[in-house]
Amino acid sequence: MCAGQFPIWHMGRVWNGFFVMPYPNTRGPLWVNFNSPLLWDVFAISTYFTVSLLFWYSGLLPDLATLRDRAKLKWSKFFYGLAAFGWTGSTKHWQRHEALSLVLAGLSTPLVLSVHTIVSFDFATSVIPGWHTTIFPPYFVAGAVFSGFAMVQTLLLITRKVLGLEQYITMEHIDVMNKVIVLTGSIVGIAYLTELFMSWYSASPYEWFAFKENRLNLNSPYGWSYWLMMGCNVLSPQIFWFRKMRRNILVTFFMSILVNIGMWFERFVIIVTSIYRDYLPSSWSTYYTPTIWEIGFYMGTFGLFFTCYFLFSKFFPVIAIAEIKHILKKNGDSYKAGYDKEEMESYDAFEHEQSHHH
Amino acid sequence: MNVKKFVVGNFYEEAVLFPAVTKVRRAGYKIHDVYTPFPIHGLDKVMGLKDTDLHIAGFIYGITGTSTAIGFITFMLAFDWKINFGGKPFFSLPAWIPIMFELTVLFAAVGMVLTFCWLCQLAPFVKKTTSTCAAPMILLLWL
Repeated sequence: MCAGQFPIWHMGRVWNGFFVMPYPNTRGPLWVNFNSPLLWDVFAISTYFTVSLLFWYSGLLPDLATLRDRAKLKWSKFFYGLAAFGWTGSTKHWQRHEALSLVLAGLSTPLVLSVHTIVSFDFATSVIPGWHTTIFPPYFVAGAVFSGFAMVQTLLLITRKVLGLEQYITMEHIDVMNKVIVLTGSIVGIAYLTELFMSWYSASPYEWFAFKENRLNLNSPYGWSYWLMMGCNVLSPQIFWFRKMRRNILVTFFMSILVNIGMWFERFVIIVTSIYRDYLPSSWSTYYTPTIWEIGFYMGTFGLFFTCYFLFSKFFPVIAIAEIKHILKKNGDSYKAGYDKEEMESYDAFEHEQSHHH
Repeated sequence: MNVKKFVVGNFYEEAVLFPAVTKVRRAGYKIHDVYTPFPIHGLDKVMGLKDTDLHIAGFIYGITGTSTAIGFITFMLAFDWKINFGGKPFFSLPAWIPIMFELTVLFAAVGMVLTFCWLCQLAPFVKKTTSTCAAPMILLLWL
């Protein structure tokens, strides 16, 4: 939602935003350009948003029904009753729900790849030095997983502490998330080095200049941002090769913030360092400073995000209740306690007992 | 009058529920439904429910999306209003694959969710119609 509004603001004439949709219009009808990555992006982002929303809400239905059944106040009975769509927990409904979740999960996975690939096409199909690279699609996908995990890690660690969810979000989860962070961070690192190598190997003087003078050169106006990005995204996550560090909450939290900063600077490096100096030195700008409007939009996304996030964690289940019930019934301590007798038995006695069953 | 009679059972364990369902069905009673707080795998089989065809519907919605995309784009760019984009052919299929993929996924997802809600009669303010079997029996599982 937050990210999706930016393309609209960047259109400038926001009130003409619907021009991106292919509808029969009075201008011919002049259709939109289906050969353009910008239009692919319109479809990719809107599909991604819609499918994520459906996947999210359909998975939430059984849990909203649980809240409805336990609601005590009049307004909450009404509200959750409305939100749960009349979910009953019928076996047939569960069967369909499982089928739906499976297919939606299967559809969402290639959708993640496609949306980030197409976003990277916006850059990669242009002729701007530093953008015109074929490695962009996998690099953006890895970067998205990387920054996504870091962002989730930041929010999860605080939410876990505040809501006392230590029993549900265990050290095991944090550990494996950190493994994903070190893996994707390293993939991103390889992508950085590859595009650096290719810019030299391509023998295109403009391409090499963009990397050598605008990024690598620490004394150039934005050299610091390139090295900050490298440090935060590639070097610092390497600490997660150590199990002790992966399982340290403080280190994890600090690292997740570093990765958030690093990935923000990745966007900054890609956009600013490529276009503040283009082919004509006469049009070079010495230093880019954001206007108050740009800062305002950015702060606004924080406001929108945290408003939604806090409202959700206040009124909606932060843990997938039905899934946890399912797991507890199979692997919970109280379930396993029932197996004490069997576990104390000798193997022969157990086998003797079981063989009579069938 | 046509008064429906239900026998309700409460269950806490799958190990008890499964044989109960089998025995009740073998005795010739019709099970109205089993309500569970989470999906119990295999219960649909024991109850004699058919597999859902929801994924087949999803596939049909998906190919509808693909053909919608290719059909409309072909009509717009190759027939209705031809524009020369950098000397490329009017029918430039490779460039349309991303949008064909997106519409496939979009149609499949939206169609499946709507079908799911329609089949299960899930929507705000919708009263469910109860089944009309003669002597139904509800088994309740509450964990």
